[in-house]
Amino acid sequence: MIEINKSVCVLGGGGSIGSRLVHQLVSNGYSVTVVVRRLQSAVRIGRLKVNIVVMDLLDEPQGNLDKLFHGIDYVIDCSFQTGADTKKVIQQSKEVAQKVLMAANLAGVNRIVHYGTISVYPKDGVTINEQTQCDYSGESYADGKLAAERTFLKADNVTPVTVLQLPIVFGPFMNWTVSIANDMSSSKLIIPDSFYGVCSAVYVDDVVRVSEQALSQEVADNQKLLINGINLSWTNFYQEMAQLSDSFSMEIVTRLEYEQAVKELERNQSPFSRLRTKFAQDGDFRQLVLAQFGFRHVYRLVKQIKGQPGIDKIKTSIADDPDVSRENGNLLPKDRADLFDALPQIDSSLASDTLNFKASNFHQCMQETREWLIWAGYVNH
Amino acid sequence: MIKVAYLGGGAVVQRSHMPAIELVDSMEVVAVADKSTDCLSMLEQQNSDCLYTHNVEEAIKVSDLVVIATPSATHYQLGLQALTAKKHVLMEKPLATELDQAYQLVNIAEKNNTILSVSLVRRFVNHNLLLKELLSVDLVGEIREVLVEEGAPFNWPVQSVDFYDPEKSGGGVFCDNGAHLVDLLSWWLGPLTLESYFDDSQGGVEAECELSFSTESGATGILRMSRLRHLKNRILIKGSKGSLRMGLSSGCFELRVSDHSRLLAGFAEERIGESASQSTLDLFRHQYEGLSKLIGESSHQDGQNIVLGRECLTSIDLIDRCYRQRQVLSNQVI
Repeated sequence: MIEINKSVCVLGGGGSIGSRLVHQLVSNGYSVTVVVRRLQSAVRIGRLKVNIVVMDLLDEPQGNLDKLFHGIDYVIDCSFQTGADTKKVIQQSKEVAQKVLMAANLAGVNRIVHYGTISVYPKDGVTINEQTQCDYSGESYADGKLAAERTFLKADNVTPVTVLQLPIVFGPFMNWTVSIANDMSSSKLIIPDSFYGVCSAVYVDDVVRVSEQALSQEVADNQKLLINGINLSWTNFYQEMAQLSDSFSMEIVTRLEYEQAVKELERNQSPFSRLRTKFAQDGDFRQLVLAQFGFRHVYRLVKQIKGQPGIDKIKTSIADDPDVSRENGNLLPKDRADLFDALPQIDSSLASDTLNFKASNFHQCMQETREWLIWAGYVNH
Repeated sequence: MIKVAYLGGGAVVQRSHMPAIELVDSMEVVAVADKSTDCLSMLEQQNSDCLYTHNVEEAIKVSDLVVIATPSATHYQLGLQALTAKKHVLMEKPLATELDQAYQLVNIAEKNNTILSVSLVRRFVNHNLLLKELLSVDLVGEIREVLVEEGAPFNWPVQSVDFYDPEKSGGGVFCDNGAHLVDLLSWWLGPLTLESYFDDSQGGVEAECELSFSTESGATGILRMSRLRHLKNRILIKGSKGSLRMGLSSGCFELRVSDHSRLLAGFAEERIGESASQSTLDLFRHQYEGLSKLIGESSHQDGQNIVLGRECLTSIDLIDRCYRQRQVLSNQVI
């Protein structure tokens, strides 16, 4: 049901799901305020007539959040906390959820929709539903989400909350599409076979639709609802992705072969390449190096290392042919391969009953994903 | 010593201007003005020997050269203020968002015999200079078609929400990196005539745009830009004798002649045997060195490694007309 002249605040609205959601809400006449942690993530929503607010929900004083929610009808919380320290992430997730709840209660927000994840459930068993017991697993993302979900669903909350527990979300701009497309197009992606581990996948537009639906449905108040599109094996999911383009390349190996290749890779990584990776990825480390050795020295060193453009750079720069830059193969990251062991199927009948949730046709969604991949330059016509 | 004041202390100042000016002995930063207290505090931690202020006038007053790196829509007003105070100005691109404003700034600078330059440093990238030379020697014959694409998922550390406000920023990708590309195209090919312009703004700033243009010699062209996706990041020039392709960031040239069966490929090098790598820092440093030299001269008509305001009036005119005649670029897949 579309509600005209209603206002929605989307927390974490610059993310891949959030941006698509914001676009849909604006198209449907909602007045939208979007909270982003970093402004560079707002480029998709920056095209729209929305109110963009930069805020780190964790550090922001409660008073600012109270002011932000003033006059807001609904809040959709797509945000999450990250970090390697699981205990800290749990604590931070609770804090943010409590702050959001307090501000929503004070401002008289009608309803909060919060994005949870199926990762909070155990990875063994046959089927999971909302009654399946879940507990902290030691994995920071899942534990943070579980902490937030438990805080949001406490019985004494004034503002009703609906938690949508999402599985693998694929489609335009989604990490589960972009990263696989990148892996398969830059070189041959090597994955372990897994005909038993279940991949539960949902198309991003289905998530957007059910989120909007949840805003106006009292029947889903103070409940968690599992959302799912399709259950298929992980191997099948990757095979479906591989079929989206002739230029995508993938090889399935046995689990044993995969594990051996991972060990080999770890052994062969040089100290310099580890250092370079750390410098590129770790902002604190980079600042430390720059502060210690001075900008001019690091700059000169980088210039020396960069050196002359070699013949390989020329080849890869001019070649449209992806084979030029293709190497021997690219191993699926270990954390992703570990997901391949997850067994249970998702029962999303409660979401169907309460929110009329019905997943779109999987092959149609894959076709739309392909169209987007062509537009985004991952797939040739 | 030339005293430099920055109006705006955001990402481009922190990442490109300040590290570059640190390498120029004849210049020193004496003031930074920004409306953000956080930004000023952060800069003060790195260099306390400088005036940090919210007051633009204060910063202009203590300087010889004013660098304006604020949202585009404020360029005209701040430029006017600095030039009226008879200061030299280095303006981040674009010079202004409207042609009339750009003309006014250029005229005031010329009347006061002060320098008004625009930070269009991409003109001084080795491969862009070489392309200009290659086109001047008629390498591909009569130019018939020009295709330009530049795009990648956006990753610039924006520091002000004004960036997404079209009234304050002047626009999106076309006004931002488009200012470089329109300047380069006009510089390479001569004045461009607008055929059509489409972008995807829906009340905010565009992330995708497409400009169709023609040149005085009758060639047609398309410029496509994106902040959302990887485009080919190259210019392809098709002529009567062959075609020339150049990677806009890789700087890799590819020349095909006559029947296109053979290919000549390589990179631009400043001098034989020297490294072709040229960082953004090099470009900004050379720009400041060029400014320093020109400030020391009595006439400010022409300088090395700098682009004077008058030189970019045609590109400002085109950008201004594009936004005025904008059509909606609809895209269902995003």
